[in-house]
Amino acid sequence: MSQPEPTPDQLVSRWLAEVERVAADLPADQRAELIADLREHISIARGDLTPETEAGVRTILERLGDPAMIAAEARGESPPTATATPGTPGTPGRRSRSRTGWIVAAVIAGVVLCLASCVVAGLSLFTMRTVSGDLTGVPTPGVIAPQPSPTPPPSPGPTSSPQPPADPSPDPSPEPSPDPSLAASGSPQP
Amino acid sequence: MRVMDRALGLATSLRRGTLEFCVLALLESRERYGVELVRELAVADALTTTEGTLYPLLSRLRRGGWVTTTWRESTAGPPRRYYTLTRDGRSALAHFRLEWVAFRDAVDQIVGTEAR
Repeated sequence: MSQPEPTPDQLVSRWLAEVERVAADLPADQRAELIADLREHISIARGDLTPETEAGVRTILERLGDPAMIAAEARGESPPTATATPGTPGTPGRRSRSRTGWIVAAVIAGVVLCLASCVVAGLSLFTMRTVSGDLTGVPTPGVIAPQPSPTPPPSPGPTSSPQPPADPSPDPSPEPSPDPSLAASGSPQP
Repeated sequence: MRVMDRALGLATSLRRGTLEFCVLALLESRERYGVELVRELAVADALTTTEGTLYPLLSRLRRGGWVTTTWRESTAGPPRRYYTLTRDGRSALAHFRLEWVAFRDAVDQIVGTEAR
């Protein structure tokens, strides 16, 4: 089923309706004035077409431009003049490009934070597992025996610390090993 | 691509800063209606984006008191809105002329485009 070609009047009313739609956030009187001005422009320009054709009307509308751009101009998103402008309605809008950049940065920061908290959560779970059953810090006699002097003093460095399997994820803070008994109970207590 | 974007953005900013004063200058000698202004400005390609964006600009000039409008009946068709420069608009234009010449000369000197 083929659609009949829109009449020039239909083209005009559709275009004006689109301007009305994208300018919905403007104050009502300002929007009404803009539509009236555009309507007047179109009438006058059509009057100059002899004869009036659909192509001629399309050209008039194309030269008027994109309704969204006209609405943006009315909104004051692209500021006309920095100093000498009389009562510019809107604040100068930043180009949307930089706003997109901020959104991207925020998303990346959010992802990084999530990953970081997962790592921390994983680390604490892991640490808890190694001291399971010994959370009070009371040493189990059988375990503490091999601990004294011969073994290298528990140093803060993660590699030299007598801990079970080396933690693969880089831990920026030095391993606190204040309690030797914790370090010694490497395997889960039965 | 980014260089192109910045070049286009620059042209837009330059245009935005001066277009309304070009409109004021066109109205200095006599009143004009909307379509007339649009057509005269369209002659200078560098000045206009699309014709439709002129109407919000005219509206701003009117709200700011630099132009006034009157409706006149037309034999040729529907009544037309005629734009006239106000006294405030005239002094704004005079001020702009001073500012523009100073600005233009300064840029020409620094950028090396003075008229020889």
